[in-house]
Amino acid sequence: MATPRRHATAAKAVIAMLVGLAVAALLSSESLVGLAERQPVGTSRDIALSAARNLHRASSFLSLDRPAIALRSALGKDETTYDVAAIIASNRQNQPPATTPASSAPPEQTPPTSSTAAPAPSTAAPAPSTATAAPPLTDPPAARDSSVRPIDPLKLWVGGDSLSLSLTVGFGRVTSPTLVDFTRDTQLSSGLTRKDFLDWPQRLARLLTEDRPDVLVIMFGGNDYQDVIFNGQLLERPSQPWLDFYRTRVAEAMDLLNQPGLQVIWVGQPVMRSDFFSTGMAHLNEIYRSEAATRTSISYFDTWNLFTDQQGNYTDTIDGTLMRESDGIHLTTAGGIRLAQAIWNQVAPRWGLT
Amino acid sequence: MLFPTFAFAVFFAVVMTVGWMLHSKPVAWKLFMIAASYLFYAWWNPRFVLLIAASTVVNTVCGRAIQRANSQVGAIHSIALQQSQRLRKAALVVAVVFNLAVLGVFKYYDFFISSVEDGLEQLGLAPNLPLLRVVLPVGISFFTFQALSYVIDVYRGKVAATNLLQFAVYLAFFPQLVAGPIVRASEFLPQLERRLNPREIDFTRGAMLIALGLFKKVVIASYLADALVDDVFAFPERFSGAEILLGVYGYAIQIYADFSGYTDIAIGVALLLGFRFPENFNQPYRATSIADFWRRWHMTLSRWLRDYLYIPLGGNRGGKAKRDRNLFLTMFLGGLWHGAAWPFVIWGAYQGGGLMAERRLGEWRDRRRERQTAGKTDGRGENRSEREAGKLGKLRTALRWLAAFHFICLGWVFFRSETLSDAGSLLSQLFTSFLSPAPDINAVFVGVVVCALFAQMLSRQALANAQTQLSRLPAWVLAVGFGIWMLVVDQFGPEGVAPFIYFQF
Repeated sequence: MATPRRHATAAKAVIAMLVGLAVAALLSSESLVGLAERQPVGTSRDIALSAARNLHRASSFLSLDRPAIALRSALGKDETTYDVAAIIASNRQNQPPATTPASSAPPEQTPPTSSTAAPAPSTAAPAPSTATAAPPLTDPPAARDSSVRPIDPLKLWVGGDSLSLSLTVGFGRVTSPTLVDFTRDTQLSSGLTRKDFLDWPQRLARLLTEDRPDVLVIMFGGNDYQDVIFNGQLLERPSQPWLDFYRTRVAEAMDLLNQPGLQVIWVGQPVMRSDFFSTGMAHLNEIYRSEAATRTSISYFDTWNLFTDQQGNYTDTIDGTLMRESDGIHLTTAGGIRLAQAIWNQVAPRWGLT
Repeated sequence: MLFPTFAFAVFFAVVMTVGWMLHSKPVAWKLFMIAASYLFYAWWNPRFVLLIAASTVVNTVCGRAIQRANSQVGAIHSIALQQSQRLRKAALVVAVVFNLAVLGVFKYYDFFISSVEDGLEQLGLAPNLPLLRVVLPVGISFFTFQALSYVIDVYRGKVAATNLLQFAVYLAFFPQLVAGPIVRASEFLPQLERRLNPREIDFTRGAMLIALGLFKKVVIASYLADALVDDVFAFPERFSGAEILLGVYGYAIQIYADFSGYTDIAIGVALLLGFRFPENFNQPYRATSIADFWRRWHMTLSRWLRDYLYIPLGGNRGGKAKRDRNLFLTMFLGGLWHGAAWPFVIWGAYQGGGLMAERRLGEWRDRRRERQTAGKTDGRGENRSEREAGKLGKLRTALRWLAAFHFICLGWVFFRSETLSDAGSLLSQLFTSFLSPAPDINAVFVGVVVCALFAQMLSRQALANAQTQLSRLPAWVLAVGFGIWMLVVDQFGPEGVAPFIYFQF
């Protein structure tokens, strides 16, 4: 008969569990700092971040962070850090002089400063549906010759926050597997507001340097409409300082992507079920639209009216097909396909892919 | 609150410590555990707590009404007897209707309305029926089934009705709240009623289950999903048949690692709090038949369906045709339990049909064997050597395993696909482009799938022995080992972990 397992007393079990968690925390202290940084802005984040940083200091002092560093290195998880500012400077040199630095965008282009004074979602939303009247997209870069396909398929990258997930599925389905080399990168809960959560400019710099696509379709905003601490100051949405701050974040990403030979489609946010959220997205769309207008490689793609009913209001279904998830924010797969198809209809002819 | 998060680690450290500090004060312990469980649940959406609180009150009141009526069933006066019988049934009906209504509104209403609308559109009508579009409360199917099992068991006299406080702990107990295992009241309440024993904590097993569960979920399931599975199911047209086949195998392992990983953590956490939960998985991919698979996969749901659906429908009684009907209906509704979508309906029907066919085939084989045995009384059958028979037996078992595994994998295609059309596209691509180049097949992915399948064939006794040996080590060694294991999980896992697959059910 098998020997029974030895049992512990509650006191011993509690102490052992606490010790186990403490050892885990010390060994993985750097990850804990990252986790704490990603918390929503507030007191609990401040406390968690302070505790995690102190723990990390203790871990470094005792050299207990070395196993994590060694393991990360052995797993090839060490990533090169790119100089985003240098890439932006290089891009600016390569652009025609008409390109305006984004941060100098005229303040009168920003939407009103408070949610009460904000325009109604339907009126704030720029441009009608792209399905019927799409804005002109940038001409394809001269460097690429469409005659080289299908030996050299078009390199398409699609990514962004959770709203981009169904968009990536849509692109995977509407583009040809043989003519389009498709990559996707959806990072849930991410955006441009919180670099401490995920540093998108750094991620994009890596993409541009290591595996540059021909066409880049990017979608942010759903997680960006949140208060943020910047330079030690709390910026509340949608105050003018917050809008200015967000504009600089968008401008930085656009400057980074504004490269000759790269076609960037910056996808705007669709109408949302919640009026408050819709208003917020309208503010963001206005920033995307105006910033994209000043950069030659970047085209803003309006999605607002692609997901409204005939009266211009939010709708869950279009032609009997469910377009939105039950949260009234995310797109269903059918919604993602609709959006991807609308974008692709504009992109494909310019690459001879119709 | 997700298990593999820092928030849960802090939460659990506090709950375990305070819980054991309060173990000698049962009322305080229960109030604390209810508060902790509601906080755990409110992490997703505070409004969900109102739903579980309402379910607690209704089911407690109904359970006690049934109990009161039960106690009067022995009344000699026939009118009193009839009244108590009526009251008993009425309370049961109220509870069952309430629980099914909760499920119906939150989970099935929109699916039903959309299906009706689609049907009417086929007839040339264009009705604009209203959809609720409500967010599905996490774990609703699990705690509703627990509540149903409680009131039915009280009605059957298998379990005594309990008070509001105890029932609230039972329904909301956070380790099993959102994705099971589905713990019966008859399994949980006796543990709750007795004093927690602070001298008998199965720490080694609890800690090992948590460590193993985290590894399965954070490392294995996440890797398989990211590396190939998600893409294969999202846009199968971009993959060759071989890649799709590997993606389907990968999904079979992913869903097992995801769901059994959650269950392992749940059972481990409960053990450290002094509670024993029933097993939910028993190496399901070593099954050599569909019936065998269902005895090993999501065992607490299979038992629930057997006791509260299959047997009440008539079970094996009333002939083969009725038995087959009951089997089919049980699996069909089991499929629907997983989600309000046609692929789940098809998946349930597929499993039901498979079980029916398998049972009929088994019966036919038994009859044939009986006839053969009867015809071999002259001793010719004994000529075959035992060795040959053994070899054939092994081959037969291997073929049965292969057939059962692929039947289950084909079922997962429907289970994972968003629509029937998606499942059709994947299957069509699987069979029409098998010889196309397969650049997305890599050795690591294949290795993970093969190792995971191999692990299913290992002896469970070996794991039990390892736990026994580890339990002999000093507690501090185990604690440090746990910490090092967490480092491995953290480094091998991705940044940010997706929610468990079974949360959506």
